[in-house]
Amino acid sequence: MIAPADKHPNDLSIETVRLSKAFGRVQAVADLDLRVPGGEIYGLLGPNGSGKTTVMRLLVGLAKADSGEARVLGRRVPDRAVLAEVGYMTQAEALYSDLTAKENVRFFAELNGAGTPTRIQEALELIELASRADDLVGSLSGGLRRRVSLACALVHRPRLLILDEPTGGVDPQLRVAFWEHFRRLADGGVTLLISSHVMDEAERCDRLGFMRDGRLIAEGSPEQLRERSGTLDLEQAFLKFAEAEHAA
Amino acid sequence: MQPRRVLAIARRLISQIRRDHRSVGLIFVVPMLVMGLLGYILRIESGRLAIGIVAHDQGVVLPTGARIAAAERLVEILGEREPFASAQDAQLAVREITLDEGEQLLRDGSLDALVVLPEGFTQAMAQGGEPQLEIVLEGSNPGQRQAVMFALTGALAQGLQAGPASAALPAVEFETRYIYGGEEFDFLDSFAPVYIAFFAFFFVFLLTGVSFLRERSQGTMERLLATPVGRGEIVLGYMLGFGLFAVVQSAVILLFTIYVLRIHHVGSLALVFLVEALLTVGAVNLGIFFSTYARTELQVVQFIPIVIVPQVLLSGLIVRVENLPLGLQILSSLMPLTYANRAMTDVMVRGLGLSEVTLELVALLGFAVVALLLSALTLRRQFV
Repeated sequence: MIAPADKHPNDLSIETVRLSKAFGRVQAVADLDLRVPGGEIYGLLGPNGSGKTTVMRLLVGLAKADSGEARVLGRRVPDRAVLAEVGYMTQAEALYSDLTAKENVRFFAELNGAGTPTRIQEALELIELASRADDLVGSLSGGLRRRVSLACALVHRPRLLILDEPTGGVDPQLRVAFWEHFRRLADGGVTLLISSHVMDEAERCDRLGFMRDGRLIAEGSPEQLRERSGTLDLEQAFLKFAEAEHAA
Repeated sequence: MQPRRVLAIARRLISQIRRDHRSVGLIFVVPMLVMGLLGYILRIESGRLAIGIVAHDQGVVLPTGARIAAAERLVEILGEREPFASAQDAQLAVREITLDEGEQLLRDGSLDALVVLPEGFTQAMAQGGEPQLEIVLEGSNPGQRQAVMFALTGALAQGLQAGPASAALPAVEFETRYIYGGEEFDFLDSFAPVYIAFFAFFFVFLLTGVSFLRERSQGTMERLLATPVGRGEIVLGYMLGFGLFAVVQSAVILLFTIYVLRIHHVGSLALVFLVEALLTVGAVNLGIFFSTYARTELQVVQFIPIVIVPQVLLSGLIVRVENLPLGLQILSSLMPLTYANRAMTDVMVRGLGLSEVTLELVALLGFAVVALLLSALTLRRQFV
């Protein structure tokens, strides 16, 4: 549905320019310049309240920027039409617990104009949920609900997936499975923007952005970030960059 | 605006409610329970009427030699008639007593009404004059008063006129007239249409409020708005989903009241459903509007005293709007249920057609539009 002319020349899936958003006195996002090329897994890392969720909400049009602009798949947002090519998974499970897994997936598929039975079955199989498809979501375990939630976000085969802490509260085994899915999707050309505050997940991203107080304080591949900070793990690297930022 | 997305929302709501057995019970069974109870109470009330007759009238001797007395005739008429004859103490049900005695019995509650025939009443009837009789009521309970007047005047008008051919009696003048309804028409008949409208409004308002609140509290609203779905489509989907339940509910209540409670109705059912549909649109949007001001489901319920109760009291459900003081009548004219009630009564009881309820339909449409604007505004402000 996106005309070729609208495609960004550099094929950036996400591009923000001095994007800012404040809630009252709290500057949630401050002059953010974020560029995520197509097919990349970009990890947004930072402590709670660093503005990760707000960035994502701005990108899917749930919040309105105070200043600056954001482009998603070449279209300036907020733009409802582009959302059909975007999958968004909120931090909360955000499912209808009185519907079955399949009904939930079908509902979001239909809203995105992709409610065919094959797509729905495909999404359920992708997350290994086919056997529980007709169970009420309310009766599923937390881990399974996360999977349903993910299926709802990707059932319409979006070109961009925005996942807000998708592995929060998920056991290690499922977490590994999730990341395998993410990598497979990226290999297929899907762009993923994933927020997390778990640093060991960050290793699996192509590129990372460290966020603090609504700003990007450092950006690069996990390797680059470790090198530049002279630390052995990303947690240390983050603290180092945070200190440097604080001092500046 | 895409019908596909609207239908997806409507269908989702329907599957959700279908699975929620308590809500299904709430929608379909509770109205029947309440209507049944209401019918029972109202019919009991009018079944236990005890009437005393005070005759200051001696009757007349007709040229044929037969002597007739209106008082005797009255005892006869009332005694064999539904609400009076079915009284447990049939002896007391209808009898001739003195005025003092009667007033005493009225005060202690043994009698519901006194019919006082003035001197020369039979004479006036026989000679084609203007016979007038006095009805004395205890009067402290408006509901009871109405019930008594309703039953009594109906029976008197019918009974006195349908006398034997020998007594060609003229019409008797009453202060209260009931133009609509007939001999078999009782309180429930006049109330049923009003309650059908009320149930539709109440349940749709409540269900929408709670569903919409859940949509926000469980985070699905965020997710919904992160799809290409528009706010208009969400509202329309809700109207369709819950509208269907309202229509099915109305059909169930209608069938129940017509075939089980045996209320009498005339008029077009299509019009009844049109009124319902308009009312539902208003109720859905009012539900959405109010739910944005609630944080919990309990708080949605707390809006009932604000939104529902005043309409119950003032829209004609309990007291006819015309009987309200002017200030309250003005307030009542700002409530959608007032118009729905009037339209439903006009259609079901009086058998009036589209042209006679146009004003009410336009008013309901107006309310629907205002509620739609309100809900659209709150949706926009909440999720920019």
